[in-house]
Amino acid sequence: MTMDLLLDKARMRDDLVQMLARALRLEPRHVKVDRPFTDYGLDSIAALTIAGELEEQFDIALPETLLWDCPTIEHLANHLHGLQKLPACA
Amino acid sequence: MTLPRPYHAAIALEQRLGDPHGQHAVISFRNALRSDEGETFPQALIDELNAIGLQRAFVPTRWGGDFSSSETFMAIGRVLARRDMNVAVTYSTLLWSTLAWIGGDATQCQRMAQAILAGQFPCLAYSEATHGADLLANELRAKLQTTGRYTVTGQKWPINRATRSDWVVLLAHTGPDMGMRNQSLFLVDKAQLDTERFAHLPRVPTLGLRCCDISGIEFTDCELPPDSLLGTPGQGLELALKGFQVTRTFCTALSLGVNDTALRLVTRFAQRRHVHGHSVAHLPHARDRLANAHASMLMAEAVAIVAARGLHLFTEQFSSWSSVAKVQVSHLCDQAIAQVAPVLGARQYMRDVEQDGVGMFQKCVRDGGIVSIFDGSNIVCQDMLATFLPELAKDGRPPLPPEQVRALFDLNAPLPALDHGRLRLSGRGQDSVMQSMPVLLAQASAFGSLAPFNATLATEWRALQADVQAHARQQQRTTSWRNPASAFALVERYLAVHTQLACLGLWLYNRDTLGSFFKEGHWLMAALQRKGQAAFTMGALPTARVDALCEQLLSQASNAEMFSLLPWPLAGGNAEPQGLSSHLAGVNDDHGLAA
Repeated sequence: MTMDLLLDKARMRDDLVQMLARALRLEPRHVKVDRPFTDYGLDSIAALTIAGELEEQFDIALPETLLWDCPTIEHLANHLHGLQKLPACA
Repeated sequence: MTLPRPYHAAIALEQRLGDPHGQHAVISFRNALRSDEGETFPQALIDELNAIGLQRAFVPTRWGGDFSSSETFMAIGRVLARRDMNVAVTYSTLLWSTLAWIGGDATQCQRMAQAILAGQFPCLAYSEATHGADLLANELRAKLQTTGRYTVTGQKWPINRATRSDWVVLLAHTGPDMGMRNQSLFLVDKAQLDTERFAHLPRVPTLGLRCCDISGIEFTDCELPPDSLLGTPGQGLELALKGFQVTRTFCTALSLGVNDTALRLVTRFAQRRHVHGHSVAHLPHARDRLANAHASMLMAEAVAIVAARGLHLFTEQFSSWSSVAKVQVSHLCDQAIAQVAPVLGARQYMRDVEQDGVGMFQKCVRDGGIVSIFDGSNIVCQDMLATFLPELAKDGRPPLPPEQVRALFDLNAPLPALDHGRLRLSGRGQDSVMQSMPVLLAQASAFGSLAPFNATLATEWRALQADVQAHARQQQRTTSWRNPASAFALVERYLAVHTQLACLGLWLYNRDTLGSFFKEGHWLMAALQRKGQAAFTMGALPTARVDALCEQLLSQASNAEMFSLLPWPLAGGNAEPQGLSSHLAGVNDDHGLAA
């Protein structure tokens, strides 16, 4: 069970890396999970639209300011993973 | 033909302020020009507006003021801006109280309301000299002390009314260093600050708005009063962006007002000046320019009015809709005036105060140019729209139900109160104007004259949707993540479709109540023929359409009426708001629509 969750979380982090790399026009290998999105030049408006894309991808309701409140992929993965474990928050 | 109720307060203000062509008006063109030449702050006029209670228009009724309708507010703004932008813009900083209504608690809202009703003014201090619209990069810092109070250090510049304000709506970096939660917003009563800890920066000489206090403010370890923070720490950018959704919508009133005066000066000149035995207003090229400029102003008004109504009905969509309104209205108005300027000949270049007010034209052009810079420049707004566009133009959005389409476009349909709590940073692609298209086109199909335009409009939107999605896919393969120039071109097309739908919707739902010119629809078909664009090509409109638009323009100038789709009498004319039915009653052909 614990292993499954860890794998899910790792996969989620990989998915986020791929997605953010596309949004930021970067090679996935150049995206670091602990680096703030703003370091890559992501602006506040683009961050709002990415929250909408994540909502569709993971099929859960997310706040529009998700990437404002979770400033790195690591933060984001932790948050989304937590939401998946707690469907009542969705 | 009657003027919808939300406009009555503006008519009353118009009459109260008097004919600006005359010498005894509260704000006359002559005095506006003289003050502009002397660059004198319009304190006496501001005091006079407060004395008649105009500040009440900025305070929502729940906080003790008169604000209940965005249409009313916008109409009042036009009445002021058509007289003198120095006064309108100086007075307009009251609108920054919006940040209190959005982010403040009850105590802060009451405090703001009481201050405004007592005649005090806030300013908005976001900009910094080296960061412009990049608000997250701002350096002015507010540090939380162990006492629970913040101290501020840094500069804000250039700021309208920085020096001559009682309150400051202050955006400050509160950390962390990175991320989008690094700014907080404060509502600061200057009277409670240590005067040794802040100073005002010199006034900046500007191209237009020469009477305004465009200056700055500098803080040095300045302790803010307790309870100055609006919202929560880190909520500054969120509140700032939500505030702009309201103020950008209302910026349209400034463009419509100031450019009404500019077009009026050109029209009056064209009526009076004779060349080769005829008035300039009879020269074909002048008529073409005047007709197109008039059409542009009416298209701009349609966009602005629909936005004002949408703000009450579809508040959640104003992250994009407010930018659409501000950009398109300022484009339409500014380009219209640039195109009619040659009709004035050498007079477009004169600053003469005395000769028939001709110097007002160049003042209007200089002053009106500010709207494209205000509240996040048009480029910033277009960039935001380019980012939102793939969602806005996504296929498969459900059509807006007919009753909601009517609520948006029928000027006699009641509106709910504006609820600032419904503002959102992203509308998630919802767009009630575009989603009105199926209902509007179905209704328009009953009018044969509109058929070719309807087909074109639907095709344009489908083509734009396809192009936006193709563009987004193509962008995925590039190495640039900023919006390219080609995305801005798509935004222009989106604005143009929006404009056509705003015009069509207003016409469909108000054609039996706003008189024969409105009903005959030459203005609508000009908008559709021009595909909602601000730019126009000389000679493209048929002569009959040019004649109809020109005659209405000349008639409204002669009868002292606002250049408007609404029956809007100006001070100094003989027309009465409700008394125009005898000669402007709707025509009784099949549908009243011109061929």
